[in-house]
Amino acid sequence: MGLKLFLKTAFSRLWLVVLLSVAAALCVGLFTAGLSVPQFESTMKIMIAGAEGEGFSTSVFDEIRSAQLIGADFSEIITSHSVLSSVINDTGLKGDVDTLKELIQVQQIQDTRILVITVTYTTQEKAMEIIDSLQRNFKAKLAAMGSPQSFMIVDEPMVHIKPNGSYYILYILLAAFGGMVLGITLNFILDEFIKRIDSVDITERLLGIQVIGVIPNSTLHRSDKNDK
Amino acid sequence: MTNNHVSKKNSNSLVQFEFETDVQEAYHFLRGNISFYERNNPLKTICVVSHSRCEGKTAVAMNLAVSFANCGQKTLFIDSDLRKPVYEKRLGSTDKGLATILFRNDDPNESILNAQVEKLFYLPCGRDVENTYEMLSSSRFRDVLDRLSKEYDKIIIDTPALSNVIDGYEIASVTDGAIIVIRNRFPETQRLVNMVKQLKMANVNIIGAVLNKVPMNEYRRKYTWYHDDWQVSRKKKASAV
Repeated sequence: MGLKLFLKTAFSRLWLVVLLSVAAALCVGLFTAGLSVPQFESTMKIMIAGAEGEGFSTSVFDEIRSAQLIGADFSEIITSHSVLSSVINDTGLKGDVDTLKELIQVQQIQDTRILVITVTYTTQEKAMEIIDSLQRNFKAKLAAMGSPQSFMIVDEPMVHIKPNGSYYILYILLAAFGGMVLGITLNFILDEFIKRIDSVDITERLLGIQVIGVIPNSTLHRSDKNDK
Repeated sequence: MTNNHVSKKNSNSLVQFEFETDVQEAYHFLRGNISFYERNNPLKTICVVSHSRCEGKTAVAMNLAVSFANCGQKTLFIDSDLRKPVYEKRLGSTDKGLATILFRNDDPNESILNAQVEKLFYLPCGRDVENTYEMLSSSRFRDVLDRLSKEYDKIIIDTPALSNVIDGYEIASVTDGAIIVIRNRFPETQRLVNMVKQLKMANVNIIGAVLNKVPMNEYRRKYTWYHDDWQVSRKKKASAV
C-alpha cells in the first residue's frame, strides 16, 4: 500500500477522525478540569542546627557528609510512626499513618543542611494545619530523644495550589491523539468490512481509477406513455 | 441541438425519452470529461463495460452515443452482445448486424441503421451465433472497427457483462478506451477490483468509471451544488417578482 493510498484510506471519513479526536479531548478536558479535586501544597524549609557551640566536623567535606547523614535521619524521624500518629491526633485526620506518610515529602537540598518539607492535601487549611503540627511534633520528638541536633525554621509554612496545568494540556493532547488513532483504525476496519461502492471517493480509492461520471436514476415516467 | 436521451425500457424505438435536467447534465458531464481526456489520448472507439448485468451499461452507452451525436459528431452505436442482444427485440428482427458482418463478411454499411437522432447510427448485433469469442477475437473484427473508424467520428460499443463471458475483455482490448459502468451500492467490491486488474492485464485503456443509478435525492445532495444554487436563486427571483 502506497503512502498516498494509506493516507486516503486513513482519512477517508475525515468527519469520523475529527469527531473522535474532539470527543476524546473534550471528555478528558472536562474530566480533568471539572471532576478532578484541586491539590494544595504547604511547604516549609528548616535548617539542621548542631548542639550549641559545636560544629559538625573539622573539614568541609566531613561537614557535608555529616549534614547528609543527619538530613536522612531527620527525614526518617519526620515521617516516623510516632510523629505522624501525634499529627493525626492533633489534626483529627481520618486515615492511618501510611496514608499520611504518602502526603508528606521531605527533601534535602544538595550540599546544604536545609530540608524542604512538603505536605499535599485537598484543602488549604488542612495542609497548613498538618505542616504546623508536623514541625511541632518533630521538635518535641527530637527533644524527647535527647538529640544534640535541632532545627531552625528558614521559611515559615506557605500554601499554594499544586501546579498541574502542563499535565492538563498534555492529557487533552494525548486524548485528541488517541481519538485520531481510533478514527483512523475505524476507517481501515470499515473499509475492510463495508466494501460497497456508493460514492466517487470510495470508487476511486478501491478501484484506483478515476470516476468520470455520475448518473442519477431518472424519476420521470416515459414520455411515450403520455403520447399514446 | 436536441436533448433526446434513451431509456432502456423504451419498447420499440431507440430514442424517445426526455430526462429531467439533472440526468441530461450528468451525461453532458460524462461527455465533457471524455472530451477532456481526449486532449491527451484521442478516442475513436469507446467500449462500455460492466461487471454484471443490470448495471445500466446499455443505457449509459446509448445515451453517451446520443450525447456525442447531439454535439454534431457522427456517432455509431454498436451492440456487440452477440449472445444476448438487447435492442434486437425492440427494433424487430434484424438478421443483419455485427454477427453477419463477421461471419459472412457482409458489408457493414448494409447493416447500419439510422437511430432516429441526427448523426447517430446503430449497428445491431445480428442473429445469434455460437462461436462469438472466436469471431470477436478475429482480425476481421479489428478490420471492421478500423474501417468504421474512418467513417464515423465516434464509435460507442455496448459489450456483454464481463462476469459472464470473455467477449467483453476481447472487445475492450481492441478499442481505444473503456468506460466501466458501476451500479451505485454495488456490494461485491473485490470482484470489481479483480475485473479492473483483468482489464489492465488485457492492456485495456481504462478511461474511467461511471457511477450509475444513483438515487436522485442522493445525487442532488452530493453532486449538484451548482444546480441547487441556481435553483435557489431562481426561486428567489421568482418570489421577488
